[in-house]
Amino acid sequence: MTPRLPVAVTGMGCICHAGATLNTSMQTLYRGVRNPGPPAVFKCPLEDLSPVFEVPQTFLPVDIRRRNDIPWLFKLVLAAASEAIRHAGRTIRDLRDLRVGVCLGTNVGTAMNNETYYRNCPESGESFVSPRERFLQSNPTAALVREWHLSGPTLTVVTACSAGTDAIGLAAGWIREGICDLVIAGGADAMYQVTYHGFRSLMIMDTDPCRPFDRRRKGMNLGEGAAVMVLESPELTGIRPPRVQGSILGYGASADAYHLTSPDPTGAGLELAIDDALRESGVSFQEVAFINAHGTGTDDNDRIESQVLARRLPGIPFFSTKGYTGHTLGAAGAMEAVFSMACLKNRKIPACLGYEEPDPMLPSRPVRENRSIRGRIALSESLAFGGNNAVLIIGDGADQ
Amino acid sequence: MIRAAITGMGVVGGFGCGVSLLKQALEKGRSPDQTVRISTEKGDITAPALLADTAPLARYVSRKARRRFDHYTRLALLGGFLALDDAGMRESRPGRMGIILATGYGPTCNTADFTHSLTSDSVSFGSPTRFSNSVHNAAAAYLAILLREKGPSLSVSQFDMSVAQALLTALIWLSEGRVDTVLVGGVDEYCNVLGHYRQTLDGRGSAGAVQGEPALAVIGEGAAFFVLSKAGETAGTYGIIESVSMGKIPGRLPGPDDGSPVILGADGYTDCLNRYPRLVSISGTIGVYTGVYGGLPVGQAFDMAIAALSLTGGMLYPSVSPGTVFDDTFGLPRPAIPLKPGRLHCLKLGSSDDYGMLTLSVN
Repeated sequence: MTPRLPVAVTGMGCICHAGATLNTSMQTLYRGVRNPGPPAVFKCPLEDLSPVFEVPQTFLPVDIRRRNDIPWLFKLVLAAASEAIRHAGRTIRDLRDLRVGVCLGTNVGTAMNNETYYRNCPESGESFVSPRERFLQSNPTAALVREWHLSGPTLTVVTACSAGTDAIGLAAGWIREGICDLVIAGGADAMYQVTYHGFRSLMIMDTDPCRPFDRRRKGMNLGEGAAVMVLESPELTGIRPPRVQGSILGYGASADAYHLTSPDPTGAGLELAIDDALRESGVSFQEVAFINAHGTGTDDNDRIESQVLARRLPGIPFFSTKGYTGHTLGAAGAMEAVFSMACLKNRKIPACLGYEEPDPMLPSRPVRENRSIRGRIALSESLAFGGNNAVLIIGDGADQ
Repeated sequence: MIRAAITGMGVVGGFGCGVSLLKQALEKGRSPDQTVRISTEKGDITAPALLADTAPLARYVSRKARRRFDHYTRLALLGGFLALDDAGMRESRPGRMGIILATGYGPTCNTADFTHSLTSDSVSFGSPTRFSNSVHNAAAAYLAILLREKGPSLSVSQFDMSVAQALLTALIWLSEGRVDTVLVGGVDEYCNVLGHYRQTLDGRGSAGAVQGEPALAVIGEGAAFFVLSKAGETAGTYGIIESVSMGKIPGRLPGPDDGSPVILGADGYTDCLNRYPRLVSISGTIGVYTGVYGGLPVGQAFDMAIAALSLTGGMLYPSVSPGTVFDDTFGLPRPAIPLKPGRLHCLKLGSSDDYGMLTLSVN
């Protein structure tokens, strides 16, 4: 793979437990605060629940909050996408004259679209909702295209926890191949009891707020939210005053080909994805200013990630933002990509919240405090269920 | 956009397992008769169905390993292995291979089972295996694991547009040089939830049809996989994918203007008898083959397989639609017809007036 042209990012949006917008989320990250609690969206009779990072209703813009014709997941998408479009200096009306693609990662947006039906069928014949209707209601990509009357290609990526990273990497390919003028790319996932109990059944959830890379880490906490980037073609950015927030320089993806639920202990798959992303971006690892790591707080993930970072990207400061947002699954990679781009702009990275005690088994350690950075390039990585690895190389837009 | 050579193909469905049984069903104009028992609020009933038998997976995967896999994963593994075998690439592959799996419903049975297991007081006993297998990318992950393939692995779920999206991504990966080969395919499985839906249609007709008219869709499931490489560098055993296009239908979709035949993904589920004629202008001959593989969101993968077989045989197979009303509506040809321009299109209309169109040609 040879180096490819950077793809301009002109707008970003984010809604998560840390904040209603990207700006407020970044303020929370720099303040180093969090307040997870027991799940509110479903009742659970069990004790020792893992806390979750839900998004309060009040975070939604009033016009979206008041709508009762769309599901919660799509409200999150709409909030993040609306912010990103505004940030890009565009209106929804503008989009209708362009070839606009939508590429979003999710898990519950597809797997859980049948939840109500599954519960009621076949006991009740009154529960009739066609698969088509359920798809249109719950699939975030289809819902956004319908909401805004968009015309371009659509893609819903379902690679579990790397879906948001994959979606942005694939969207950059659409721009480079001339398939779209503009792509709305990112990820979204909402809190559902099925995913909550699924992860609980795997015994990888911490009953305390998660502690990525810490010696006492016991697992992850679930979160929810959405994050979106607006990617534009050079032709489009060339015909209006530049409003570039950053750029996607490279994307790499790989499979561990090892185990469904455990990462490859050698970390070889993750290294492949890092190498591919660096190769596509045409930058060397020494140019990377910081790494936004996956850092879930699970024993295996953090150990292997730490080993790969020590080996392949030595000495580069890194952190995980899951201590602020929880693990937002299909949204996580997109959320961490927009956080990374915002950090490049702010020239500051946040502390790895939850990390206090170094683990002697980990050869690299995250930053414990906010830190200023000088470079112009960041690396954001995701490791997923099923052994998927995805990496983005993100620039501050100086290349545009 | 780069063109891709189809060097291998693996199919499993109601017609049987493998390309030769698909050909046989196309020549006979039917797949073997099958029915499925559906639990409804009024008791069990039976309905026609085209279900897939994954027993031939034993050729590739040990019994011990197979026990871990649910039916959905078995379908994906079987389709993938058959395609690689066909391309002579199961044991070793030159360069790097990517895997792309398209699905409309995902592992529906597992998701339904896991969801049911969490009802009422059994909330603490959700099975970790069921949960793991319910994640949409589990089947692609198993393919990568069994093939020891560390290239990029992607799962996409865009309902009836999933196949077009997966193929578009495959072409982009080849164009980028991200991979040398792509194993790409579509998988969907039958489960009682879908049977229940299909049966509900019997009282309503297919969506948008006259109230009380019998539903036309035949329940289908299966997997269709392809091995793709850059055209020009490799000869396509089954021809070339010239282009993949998709998007929103702009009022009315101008069909292909080259006069070559078009295979429609009309399966009786989404008011297709009204929507295709209303939304698309087609000048060439039309073929419909959903009577061979049934109605499922990734049906376009089977249409592509049939298009590839037609191109390599130089003849468009006689249509096998789910009912005579399709034949009348679309004027489907019964005898096989020679393919003069050596090109074929596969068109699927999506659920929200979007479309995905594949164009295939001979080498």
